[in-house]
Amino acid sequence: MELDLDLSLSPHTNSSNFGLGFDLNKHLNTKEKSFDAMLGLENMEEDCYVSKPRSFSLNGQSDKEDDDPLEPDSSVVYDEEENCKVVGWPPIKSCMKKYLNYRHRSRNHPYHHHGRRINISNQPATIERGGPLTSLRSSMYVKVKMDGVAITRKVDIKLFNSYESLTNSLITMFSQYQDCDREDTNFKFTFQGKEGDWLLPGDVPWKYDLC
Amino acid sequence: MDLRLPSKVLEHILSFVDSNEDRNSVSLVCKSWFETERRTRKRVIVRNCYAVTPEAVARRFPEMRSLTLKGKPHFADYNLVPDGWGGYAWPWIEAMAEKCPSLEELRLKRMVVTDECLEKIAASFKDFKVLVLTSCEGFSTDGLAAIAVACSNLRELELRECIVEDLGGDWLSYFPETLTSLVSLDFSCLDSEVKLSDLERLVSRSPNLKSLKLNRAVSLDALGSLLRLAPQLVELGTGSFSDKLDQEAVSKLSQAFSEMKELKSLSGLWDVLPEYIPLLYSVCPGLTSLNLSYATVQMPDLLELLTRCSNLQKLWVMDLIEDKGLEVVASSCKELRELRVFPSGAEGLNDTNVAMTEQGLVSVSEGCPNLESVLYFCVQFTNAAMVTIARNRPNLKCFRLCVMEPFAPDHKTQKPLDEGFKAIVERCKDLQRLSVSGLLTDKAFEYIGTHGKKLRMLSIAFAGDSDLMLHHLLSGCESLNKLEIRDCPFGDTALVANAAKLETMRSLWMSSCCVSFGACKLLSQKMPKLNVEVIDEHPLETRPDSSPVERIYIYRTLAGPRLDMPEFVWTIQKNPEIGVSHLAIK
Repeated sequence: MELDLDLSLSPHTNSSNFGLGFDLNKHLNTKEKSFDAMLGLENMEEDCYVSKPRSFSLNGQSDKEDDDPLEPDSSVVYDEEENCKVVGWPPIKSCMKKYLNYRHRSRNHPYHHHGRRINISNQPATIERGGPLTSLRSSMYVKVKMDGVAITRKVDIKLFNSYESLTNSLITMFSQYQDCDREDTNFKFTFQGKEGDWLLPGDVPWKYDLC
Repeated sequence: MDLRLPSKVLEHILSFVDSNEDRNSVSLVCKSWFETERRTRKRVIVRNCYAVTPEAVARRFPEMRSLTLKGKPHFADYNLVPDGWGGYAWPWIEAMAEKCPSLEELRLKRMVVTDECLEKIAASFKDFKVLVLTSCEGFSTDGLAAIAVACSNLRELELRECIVEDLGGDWLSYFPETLTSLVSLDFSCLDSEVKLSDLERLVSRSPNLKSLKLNRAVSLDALGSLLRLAPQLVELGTGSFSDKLDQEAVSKLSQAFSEMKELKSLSGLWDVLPEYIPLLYSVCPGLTSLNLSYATVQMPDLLELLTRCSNLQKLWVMDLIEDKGLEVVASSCKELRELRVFPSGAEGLNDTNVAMTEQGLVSVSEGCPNLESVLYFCVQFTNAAMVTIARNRPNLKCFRLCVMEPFAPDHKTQKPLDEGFKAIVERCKDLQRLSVSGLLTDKAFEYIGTHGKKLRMLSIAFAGDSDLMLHHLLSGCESLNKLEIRDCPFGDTALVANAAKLETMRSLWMSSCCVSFGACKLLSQKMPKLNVEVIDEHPLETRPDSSPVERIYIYRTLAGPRLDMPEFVWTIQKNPEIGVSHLAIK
């Protein structure tokens, strides 16, 4: 059954830029160029791939006031229990998730701070520029250096919801490389702002730090 | 001259035709073959409970003995289908109770089963033998008691990953002393402790018991006595494997395991302590299936276990196995057919302490010539790895890769994973099931559309750039049966242009994409044999046609619109007067 259907979309639509009589089979290479132009990314190296902006962010930082009323409220449905994680991702069944959470809750133990300093430099490890795309990026890698450790690590701070969870994870990461017992060390966490000055976390709420 | 075979002869011939696919072909030959086939079919499988009415099925197959039904779409497993959507078992059980009282077996997957359903089964089917519920919910342990007490010929009772209201462990005690026919019992998903003495008595009076899967509440000590009562088990799911036992108890347990000469499948092993792993060594050489998804076995204890499993065909394990462990699998488990590696981090997210990369899967693809089914959760992947895997294993039938970080590119080249998946679909000509992830452009889907000719089920998340992606898939994948998509930026044009394709598929799921309300209405009007369900928690009546909807579920059906839709499910039948004012139809 051959169907000849045309969908005439209202001018406000965001779902696609295709007009009437659009033939999908013809529309191949022209798409990418117009997309780049839209983003103002003409300066990008050709080989570098930039992840396309999406209308959601994994950390639930979408700015409600900026929402176009015709955009989906949120392309991602948020789970009520956990703060702003993506529903159904990664795709594992609830019985297994339940077990993994139980396992982690019973493994976590408190740690005490004393001593070493972990610095986070605000130079993103990827090529992406800052600006309006930043908060929509799926990942934001920053360099982390710890006093006394030669190796700098890269961390995706988009995966964390708070300074506490980031600190926790950094401590785990660095204690792998050191003989020190993580419970003995006291960590001071500083980060380098855009102007190059060193700041303490907590001065600024977590979500602004991601910008 | 009447050249028809006498129906008795045809019946006899058909009694040798087991496969439903063949029987479906038989029923298309002519009316008399259709009639004879339908009167003799014993096993009926309905893979979408809304594709056909229970009455129609019961009418067509009056001699049905076994019914298999599937309800909710697959993404319901990941909480993407709101509660109350549907998939109710009751209308089916009611219809069968009336029209097919000789029903013996019921297998339900992703359906809502209530205690009333279970009571109805217990009361209506005199010779009921098999109840297998997979990923079902809506019932309590009271319903189980009803089955236990009434079904005097019960052979199989299996609850696989169900969500059950657990009111206690008494239900098990309702199995009467006269019940001796049990072959399989699986209550691994329940929480409460059952009475050990009742379980022991049940096991000892069940000489045909081949499969026993305990829940976590059954202690290690109890396991010992159960195994001594049932050394003939072929499948065992242990309970908790972490209690502290004294030396005597340990050696008794070891002895019990070594008596189990028939054991082929082992699962459970919750929280297994490293010192208890050696208890399993005696059964390892005979195992064909090992499920360590809940066993927090780390390296190197895992190695010791795996090197002994030379006959393993199916391995489910957590990423604690790491690349090193998978190398050992590659060299020790030469018969491996199916590998599933699950994440061990909290919420299923990555645990940065685990050294598992794409290399692990590459090793297994090199070492295991029969590997045909893969489910692999990994933080990142590379195109080169997929190219190698495809080259090593062109016999892959199922390839499900879950790169846990959405939009993650090839971590070595920073390029999209298009070329990797291209290699997979190009080389693995018999690939039937594919799940893609990571950073993917439309190109990846062009490749899948071009090469994935045998692909039946495809799952996509956070991928693609435009409607082209969907167009490539719907126009290219000839065998496509189930397509499920979440969080991809397209919809309307490809959907509407390929509407006819949807009738050749079982179902299409799209959530958090850009499908407009208008497109849904258009599809509904043009394709009467499809149910186009818009699942959206915000009211639709006043929505403009251009507004995107949260989720759509489209499936072919002979049953017409369903009558049990909740208010958050919209189909055009609910508001037929909402016209197509903005839509131009040629």
